[in-house]
Amino acid sequence: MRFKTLINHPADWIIGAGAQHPVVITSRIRLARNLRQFSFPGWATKQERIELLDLVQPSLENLSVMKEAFSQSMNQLSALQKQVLVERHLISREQAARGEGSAAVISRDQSVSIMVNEEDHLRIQSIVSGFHLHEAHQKIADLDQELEEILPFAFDREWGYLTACPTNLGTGMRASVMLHLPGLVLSQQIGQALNAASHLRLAVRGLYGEGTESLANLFQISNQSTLGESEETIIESLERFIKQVVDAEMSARERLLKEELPLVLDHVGRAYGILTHAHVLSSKEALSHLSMLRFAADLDFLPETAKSICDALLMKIQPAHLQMQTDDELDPSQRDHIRAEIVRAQLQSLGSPVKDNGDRSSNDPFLI
Amino acid sequence: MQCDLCQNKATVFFTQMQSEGGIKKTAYCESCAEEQGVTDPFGLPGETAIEDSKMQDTKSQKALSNECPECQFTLDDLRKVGRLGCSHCFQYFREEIGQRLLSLHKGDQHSGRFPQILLDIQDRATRLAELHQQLQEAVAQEDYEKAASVRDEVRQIEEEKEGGQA
Repeated sequence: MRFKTLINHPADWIIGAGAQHPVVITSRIRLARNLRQFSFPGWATKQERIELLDLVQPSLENLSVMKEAFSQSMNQLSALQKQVLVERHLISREQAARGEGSAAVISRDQSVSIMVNEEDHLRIQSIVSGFHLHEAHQKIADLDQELEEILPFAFDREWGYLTACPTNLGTGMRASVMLHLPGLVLSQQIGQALNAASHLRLAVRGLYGEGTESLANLFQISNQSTLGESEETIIESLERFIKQVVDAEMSARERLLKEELPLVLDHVGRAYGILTHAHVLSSKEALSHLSMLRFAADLDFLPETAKSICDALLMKIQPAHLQMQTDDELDPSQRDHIRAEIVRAQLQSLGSPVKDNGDRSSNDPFLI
Repeated sequence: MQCDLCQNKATVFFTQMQSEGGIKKTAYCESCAEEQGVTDPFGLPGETAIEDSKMQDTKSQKALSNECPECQFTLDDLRKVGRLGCSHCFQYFREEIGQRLLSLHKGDQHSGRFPQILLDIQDRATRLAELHQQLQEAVAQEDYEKAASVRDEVRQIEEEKEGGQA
């Protein structure tokens, strides 16, 4: 598959196709695997990394899920193309900084991606929309089994799958979910709600993983401990915590509607006003207002279609995607201008947010 | 001037001010520079690229002791970067790594998935141990018929094992 095809056919989870969860945007699982007879990528010479890549790439391309996959070495991609893959969460920022000897193999539907020679020889990831960690895990557990029959994975009876960093030993598995928590942020309960995460050895991060800030009220929560528990137990305890956060978010939304309706309507109305009328929009500003519009759609202030428009826009307005669409190198001020144009065009079909939108009967249609 | 990482002529030069006050000079040829990510217009190479070059530097200095014989990674490297050189390092630095595990994880014993091939080997090993026990008992009781049939089963498993490894 060529890069252009990948760009023109965004994954279901990117465009928010199918039934959507009001809080959990995506569920993701990744496995770290290494080959016994090779040094880890950070210690291997360039020659050794190339040798490993030459050895594994054909096996990865032959996997049933990788039929007609996108399979490219990092030095074959431009900086902009790599950045697009980062924005889509298909490769890590670290992988984007790498060159010859490192690669990405991405399934046609972009639900499974494998990085070769990132921190480990293989980083296998699956991503699905909504709250479906088990489904995401099943997808790559099968693939893992298929691979272990042909590739000699490094494994230790006591410490499980051996990884370059001891933080990934054992299952080598990181399960994570992306949550949209505008209710908890607006009602200033977010700190309290996520506080328990660290006691449960769960990590809370921003939109792009480690060291990134939270944008658009989006939070990533994942397990830190990978050793000492089975894959199922890790997923189940993450699920339990996520359910609590989802419940807290839903009751925060309910309380806001009941007790602070003007505040909610104000945030939503301002976001709509700016997005539909602005001519210069920074990425950060656009993200935070789009978050409010998605929130409005969750509260039925906007029609259901608004959710997928918002989800698709969240991806489209990011710097590399923007430049890819215009096929041109843009300086930041040009980007902000084009971003505003795209957002205005996409939201044109959407009417103003209305309290109790659509088929819900209401005595008091509250236009904002 | 020669590239720090290969034999080619260096064309990309870096001078890094280090926190301890010194200066570190780096020279790469064009292709190594690209590989290290320094042509990336989004900025300087990520943390990993820097870590990598640090690791490469230490690799070239011959370590004296505490070295993984498979990949020449040293205990000092481990303490510096917190990562390992290859899967064999886990045997050579077992104690050092073992001490850290409980601060990183909920346990220090793997209880997740095992590769199928290992399970097969384990099953065979358990069965062989049982059979050897039975064989000894049969011989002790002078039950040679039983001993012969046990011996045949042992042979069959050992053949399977060799077949599996080929």
